[in-house]
Amino acid sequence: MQSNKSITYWLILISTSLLLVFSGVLYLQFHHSRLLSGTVQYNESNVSWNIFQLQSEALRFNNALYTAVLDPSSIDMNKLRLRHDIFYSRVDTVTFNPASEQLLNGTAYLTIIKSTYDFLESIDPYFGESYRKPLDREAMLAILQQLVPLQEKLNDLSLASVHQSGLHAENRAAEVQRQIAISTRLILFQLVLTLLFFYIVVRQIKQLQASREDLSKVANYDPLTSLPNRRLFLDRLEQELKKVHRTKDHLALLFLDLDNFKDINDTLGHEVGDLLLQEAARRLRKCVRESDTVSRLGGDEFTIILSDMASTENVAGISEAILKTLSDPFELDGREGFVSASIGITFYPDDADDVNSLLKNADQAMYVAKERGRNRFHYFTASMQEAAQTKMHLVNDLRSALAKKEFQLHYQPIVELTTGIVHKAEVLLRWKHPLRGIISPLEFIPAAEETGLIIDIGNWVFHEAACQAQRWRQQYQSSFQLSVNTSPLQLRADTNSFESWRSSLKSLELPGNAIAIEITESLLMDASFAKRLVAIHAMGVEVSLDDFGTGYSSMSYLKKFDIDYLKIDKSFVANLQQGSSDLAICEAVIVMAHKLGIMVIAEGIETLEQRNLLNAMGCDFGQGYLFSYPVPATAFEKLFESRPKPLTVTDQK
Amino acid sequence: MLSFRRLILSLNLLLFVALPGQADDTTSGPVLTLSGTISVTNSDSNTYVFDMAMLEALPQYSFTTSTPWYPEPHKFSGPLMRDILAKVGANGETLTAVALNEYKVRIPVDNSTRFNLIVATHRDDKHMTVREKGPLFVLYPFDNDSETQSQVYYDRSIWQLKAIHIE
Repeated sequence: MQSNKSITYWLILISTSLLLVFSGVLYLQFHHSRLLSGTVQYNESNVSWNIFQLQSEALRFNNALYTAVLDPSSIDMNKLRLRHDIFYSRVDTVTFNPASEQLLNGTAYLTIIKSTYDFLESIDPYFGESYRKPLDREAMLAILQQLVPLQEKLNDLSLASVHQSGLHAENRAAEVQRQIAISTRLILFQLVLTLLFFYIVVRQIKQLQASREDLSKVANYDPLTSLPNRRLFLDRLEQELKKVHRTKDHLALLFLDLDNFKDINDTLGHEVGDLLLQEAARRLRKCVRESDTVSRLGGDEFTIILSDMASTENVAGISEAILKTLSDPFELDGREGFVSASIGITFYPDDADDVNSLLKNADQAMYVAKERGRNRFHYFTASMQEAAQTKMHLVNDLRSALAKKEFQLHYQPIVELTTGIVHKAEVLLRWKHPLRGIISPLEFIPAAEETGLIIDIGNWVFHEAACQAQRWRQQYQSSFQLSVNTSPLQLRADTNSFESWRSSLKSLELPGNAIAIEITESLLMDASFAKRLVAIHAMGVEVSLDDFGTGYSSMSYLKKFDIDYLKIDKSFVANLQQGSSDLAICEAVIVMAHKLGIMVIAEGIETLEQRNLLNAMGCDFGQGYLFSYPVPATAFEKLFESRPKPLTVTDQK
Repeated sequence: MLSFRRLILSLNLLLFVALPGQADDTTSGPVLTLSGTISVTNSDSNTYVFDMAMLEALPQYSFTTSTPWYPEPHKFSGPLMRDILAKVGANGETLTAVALNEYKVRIPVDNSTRFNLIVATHRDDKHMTVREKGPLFVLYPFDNDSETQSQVYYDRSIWQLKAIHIE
């Protein structure tokens, strides 16, 4: 405020100075132009000329008189009078010129002019208009006597005027130069003032802009966490809604409230509370993408806008990540603090289509989360909430399923097509839920993969399969092999799966080839998988490529990776008949696989015709309902016993 | 009838008043002689000689202007130079104007068309004596045309004019 005032004074001062300097320059210029004006110049330059003319007219008058004195008979009164008048007019011309007196100031100018006029007056009776005396010889001699000294005086005046003109011109030049120098200095000063003026104005404008930016920051951002505040949040939400409306995507609005923040504030103080809010804000921002908006509405309330959501399912993952990151201890000024959060979730356009309703929904959902015991998220929509709850329960049950021995293995035989002998079987996982009964792998495997439980479950399956394989090898067939499905997650480098498998095989003293693992084509796209494949083969375990033909089936993968078996997907087998394109594909796959030293297993064989066609094409093994459904171990053992009769359907489950 | 008599009386009075003036050398006899490339002459020596009455018989033009020679503006009147030149059938580029004291100055003929250049016979409606720079004074309309406010035109404004030679 103070500086603003002083700057205003400065600007006024500079403006006033500029005005004065401008006026000064203008005045000088006006003065210049007056000095140089035509009339003044002309008058000044003419003074000497006028006096010279006067001098010569005096001489002519003298000559005329003298001629008349010498030869009185030739007197021409008109001519004399004309000379007199011209002489007279010449005196007037000198005296009428205002520059004469100025230029000849300090000389005998005035006295000489006066004596000239006196002379003219004294001879007026002879030459004047009113009254004329006769001009005789004596009179003319008397006039000449007066005229001669006057001529001398006029001569002096003429010389003085020439001299004075030179001086005057010099003075004039000096004066003009002096004024130009003053003007130059004034103009320079003016330039400096102008620059100063603009400098101050530009600086003021910059300050104004900066303060305006500050103001907008204050208006739109929370000073504590630097997150957008309620105002900016509402604005962004409005914009995002418009965008999402256009793209037909979904948008999720999360309303988050810290559960026991008030306690921390009360016990550790507001400053510590502020630190916690700042850290919480930092963590929240890390959980979402750059394009998502995390805002602080005030207190311990935050909102998160998740836009461009292709589906609404990812929100649960993000919410869990948020709950997890907030449950980590907070380093608060040397002490550890713990908080949890309750999150309410609502979707656009599913739950509401305007800002206020969405905000209300999310708020309500957050309160439900609080009521249900905090440290959780809750959806606004009942169906969403139900789905989320179901999944949550499923995950919870899945965690205890292993311990409670709720998993079972079923086996589907793999038959050598030429002989009909069961040489192998595929192991299939079944979960028998105490309340819900059998749950499909399609339902629980994704949940197991999401939670990472798949590793433990996979290891258990491998171990169980190894045990079963050993049993059956000893009892029925020494080369019997069980193939186990694997999730890509199990085969990742950072899991302990291989370690677990190796120890299973070792403890049972089972050769690795008792087990084949089934992998999907997508794994082969990961170049680093080649290394792990080597590790699998080092255990002696064989590898079977599942669902061949449904993915990015690329022959180059087969060449690059060491695969033992290739399983033709059941979709090809289903339409198998003489002359069909699937038949051609199957035949080509079989021929190609054999050339690469890979054996082929056809999945989903349901009819005798399919089996015969495949057999005719040289397919090594077959699997499907024609031979048997997947069955429990006890049922499977009957298949061994009924050997070598052709297999028939024995059990529905 | 009455008005006619009054007119006669006025004319008589005018003549009476003008008589002493006529005796003056400025208003009787030749005042301006034109020579050179002119097609109309009125004398033996291939010149055209004007007396004051002839000049006043031409269309009169007047303007009021300030000049370097008088402290105040004055009204000047007289015939336009171009009318005089037309009268004598002048055909040339340059006028050489000569004053009573043999002062000479050259005036481009086009000045007579570019400006309302006059040969003033009157100042403030009065004849000018030789003492008063008369009887003839060549004048540019300085105040009406700022271009003429310069040394060049001041120099060309010759007073006590007696002759013009055309080339």
